[in-house]
This record gives sequence, C-alpha cells and structure tokens, in this order.
Amino acid sequence: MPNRHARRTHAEPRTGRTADAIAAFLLAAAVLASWTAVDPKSIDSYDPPKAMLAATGIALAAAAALASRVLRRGLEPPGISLPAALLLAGAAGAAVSALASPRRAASLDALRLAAVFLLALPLGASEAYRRHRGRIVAVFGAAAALNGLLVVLAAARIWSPLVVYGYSARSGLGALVGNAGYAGIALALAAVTLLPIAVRAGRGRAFAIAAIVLCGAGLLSTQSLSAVAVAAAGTAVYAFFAGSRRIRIGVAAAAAVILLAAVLYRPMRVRVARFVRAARQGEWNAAFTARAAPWLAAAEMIRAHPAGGIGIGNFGAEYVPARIAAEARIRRRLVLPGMPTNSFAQAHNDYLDLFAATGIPAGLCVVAAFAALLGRLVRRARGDPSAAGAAALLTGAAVAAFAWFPFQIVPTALWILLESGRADRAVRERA
Amino acid sequence: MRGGRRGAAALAAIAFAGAGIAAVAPEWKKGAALRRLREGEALVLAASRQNDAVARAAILRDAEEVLEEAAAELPHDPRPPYLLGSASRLRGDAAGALERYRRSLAIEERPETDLNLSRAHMAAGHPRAAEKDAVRAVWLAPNLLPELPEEARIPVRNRIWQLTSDLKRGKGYPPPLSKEPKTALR
Repeated sequence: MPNRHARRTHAEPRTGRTADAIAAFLLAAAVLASWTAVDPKSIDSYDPPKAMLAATGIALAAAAALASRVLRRGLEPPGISLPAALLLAGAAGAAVSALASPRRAASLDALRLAAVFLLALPLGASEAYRRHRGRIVAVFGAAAALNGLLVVLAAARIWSPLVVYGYSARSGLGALVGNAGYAGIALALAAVTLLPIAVRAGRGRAFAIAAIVLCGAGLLSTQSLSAVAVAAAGTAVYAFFAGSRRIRIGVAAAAAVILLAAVLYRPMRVRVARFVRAARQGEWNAAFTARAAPWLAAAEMIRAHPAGGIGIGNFGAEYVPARIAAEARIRRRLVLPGMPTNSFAQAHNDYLDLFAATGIPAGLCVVAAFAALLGRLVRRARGDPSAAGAAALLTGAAVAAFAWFPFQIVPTALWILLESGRADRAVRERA
Repeated sequence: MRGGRRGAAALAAIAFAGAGIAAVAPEWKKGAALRRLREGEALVLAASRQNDAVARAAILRDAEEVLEEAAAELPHDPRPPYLLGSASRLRGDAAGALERYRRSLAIEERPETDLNLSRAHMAAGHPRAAEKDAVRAVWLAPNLLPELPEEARIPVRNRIWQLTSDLKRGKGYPPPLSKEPKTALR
C-alpha cells in the first residue's frame, strides 16, 4: 500500500503518468482475471480463460509501460542484472529446445504463451508497477480473499458458485481457481504477500489482516499440506528477516492460530494422519498422492534428452511412455488404487518439469536466475521490510515448486513474475 | 525533442501492442474451440443414449461437424480426435474409429483412449489387438477394469498380475499397445 506522506514528499516525474495509469489498470485487470475468470461453457472451465485474459492484459499493459518508458528515457536500453541475464540465457535455451523438439509445433505454441507471461517480469520492474503497486496489491488481495471465502463456504457445504463433479470431497474446494491444490498454493502465496502490509502500521493494514484471515481459512479448508508448508516457509522467512521483535511476536502468534486451527479442523487432521501413516510405512507414492509417477516420468525425460529437453508444453504428451520406461527401470507399477486419473499434464515439481522441458543447461540458467535473485534479497532483507517480503514470497514459491507447479498456475505464475521483476529492480537500485 | 519522444512512444506502444495481440490471438481462438469441444462431447454423449437410429445419425453428424472445427483449432489436444473416434464407433465405423483413436494417441496417450481403441479393435474383429490394448488401459488406470465387458475382466486382471510379478522379478516389461505411437523418448 502506498504511503500518503511519502507520496506528497517524493517528487515523481510527471512524464508518462497516463501511460503508467493505463498499464496499471490493464495489469490489475489481468491479476483479477487470473483469480476469477471461469467459462462454464468450456470443456476446460478454469485454466484457459484465466490464461487468455491474463495474457491479453499483460501484453497490452506491457505496450503501455513501454510507451511510458520511451517518454521518460527515449530509446535508452534498460540495464540488465545478473538474474535477468541468466533468465534470458535460460529462455534462449528453451526456445532452442522447442525448435529442436520432436513435437515442435506443440512446443512453439506453449512457448508463445510463456513468452507473453514472461513480460510480467519487466512489467514488475516498470514505473507503472512502482507507482500503482498498492492498488494492484489491493486487487490481488481482494481476489484472493474472495477465493478463500468461497473455499470456506464450499467446505462448510453452504454455497459454491459452480457444481464440480469429482472423486473426492476435495474436488469441489477449488473455488474460482479450479482445483483444491491450486487454490491452496495460491492462497498461501497471497497470505505471504499480504503479511508485510498486515504487520506494519499504515494504510491498508485492516484490509490485509482481513484478507489474510480469509486466505488462511481458505487454505486450511483445501486440506492441502503443500499449501501449509508454503505459508509456513514464507512466514518464517519474513519473521526472521523483518527485524523488530513486535513483528516476530505478531507473526508467531498468527502462525500459532493457524496451527491450532489446523489441529482443530478434522479433515486437515485426517489428511495429516494419512500422510504420516503412509510415510511411516515407506509408501512415499501414497504419501505424496501419486506424485512418484510424474516425478519418475520427468526423470526419464531428462535421461532421454539431458541437453535439449523434450520442449516446453510436451510433458503430458510424453508422460505415458516415460512412465512405462520408469516402471521398467524401477521394476514396479506406478499406480495408486482409487486415483481417478492416471494422466498428468505437469510433473508436479516445477524443477523437474523445467529440466525435462528445456534440458539441464537451460534449466540450470533459470534456477540460477531465481537463486541469484533470492540470494540478493536475503542479503538485503535485514532492515529492509520490502526485500524481506519479496524473499518470503520467493521462498514460498520455491517450496511450492517441489510438489506443485506454481510457475504454471495462472494466478501464482503472474504474481511471482511481477514481484520478481519488482524485487530485481529494487535490488539494482539499492546496489 | 519532446514531440519526437511522444511519436516514438506512440509508435513503440502500437507496435508492441500489435505484436502482443498477435501472440495472444490464438488463445482466444482456443477458448472458442474449447467451447465447441464441450458441445461436441455433449452431442456424442447424447448420441450414445439415443436408441432411434435416424435421430442418432443426425446427432452424430452435428457432433462430427463441431468436433472437426474444434480439432482444426486444437491440433495439439488429443480430445477432439478421441471424441471423433467415439462418434465413428457409434456410427458403426470401426475402421474410422481406429484411425481417429490412433490420431489421438499420436498427440497424447491416455488410458481411456487405449480402452476405446480396444473396443474399436473388437468391433473390427481384431480380438488379440483388443486384448492387448485393454491390458495397457487397465495397467495405466486400474479404475478402468469395470468398464471392460464382464468376460474380459478376469483375463485382463490375471494378465496384469502376471506382468506385475514378472516386472518385480526383472523378467518382464509393462504391456505395450497393439501399435505403439511415436514418442520423443525413443
């Protein structure tokens, strides 16, 4: 949230203000659509409408932000940080891998959409985002809180905006995001984003606290253990770096309340007990709800194409042959009785997915870019609440990427990229 | 100077917005195609429940028209050819169904496609291929076993037990399809 006092005393250039306002409006619309767009008449009601509207908003916002930059700085090229350079190298590797992929057309198609989403990085670093971030965070928080509320209402069997047919009670807990796991991860990252606003005195604090309560209640209702881990990791990082004792006590109290609620909420208790039982018996595939199959399949893809990958967007197409190869290698059938689907479009681990899609060299560049940014943020996090908040969000995303795919879920991908761009700019300016 | 910058900014914004719209436009087309796909799926389902042969044929014609349109816009989606295969099977065209299911498998193998490929093989009079594909379908997704004809369930289950046991002893390999589609892994 912007500080009124800061706005009065800080001399801001007037040039490009209209273009910035247009970019911010389009970006806010993209953020809102990424959380709420649903097309009940489509065979895929949740993800494609979100991706379509968010990508449109990003592309047009980028055009407006570019106009603003040209007005202020002419055609002067922007400075490039080490994380940005590494990411560009990774993106170039991904493009080469798509061109060399045996399923080239499908891969280039996926690459096109990914390229549009990557524009969220420079947008996050743009003047438009710096000027209007408070408003965009407000839209983000409100959309997340709405989804949190919808998950709670659905879990309590009070009301749900859409009828979802699924194999378990959790199937209907995806709110407008569409899937209980996606919703849990997105709500966890939203809560971590709003934490720095909630713990400091200033404008928007009450709103942030209310939104965090709804996101927290929603993420517990999704019964997603990964989401709890993401929220815990992000919160711990923020509490560790944010400095003051008062903040640490506040964050610890909030964490204690969430933990207590998790213990008291029966479905969550049952889920934890199931996880612990399966882990004790050494049934890791059951503990991680059948993730062994996509993880091992991704490993087979990496083994088959270590240098160039199979091309982004091809995981689903290569999943079954890779699973069969993995079964032959480990001499075990990779199924979980009772699972309704045995097809996977993602590896359920963004790191494995990345290496499988782009190959090890390009994948390492992308991971190094992320690690370099996170490392720089961590170095500045003590005494810099903004850097601590960004480090908390990126840590949450890094944790989520082990068992989910936050870089492929529309609301989380857009937000992580925007905030990464913003963090990179802040680090560069303070260096 | 200022006017020059304004002109450059406007040009840059217009060029970038144009490129952005061109990059995003296929997503809008896909959105419309996914709606058609849902419509086609509903029509195939309606045809499968229709007992009157003439009415069924009319519904299937509509379904195929809608699904062909969806297939043109979604060349990397295995569902349009899969549903077209099911429409062919409902029309009694086993050869057409086999061709369309194989087209779907070439895009992405899914257990339900293997199961329907098995059904199409059976209708075309290829019982050995039908058994192979049924075993592969149930190997991949055990919940498909009840979808098989009653007389096929026990042989398929026994074959899978045997394959699982052979695999554990390092003497076997997971079951192949009657005709394996191409993959990047080989």
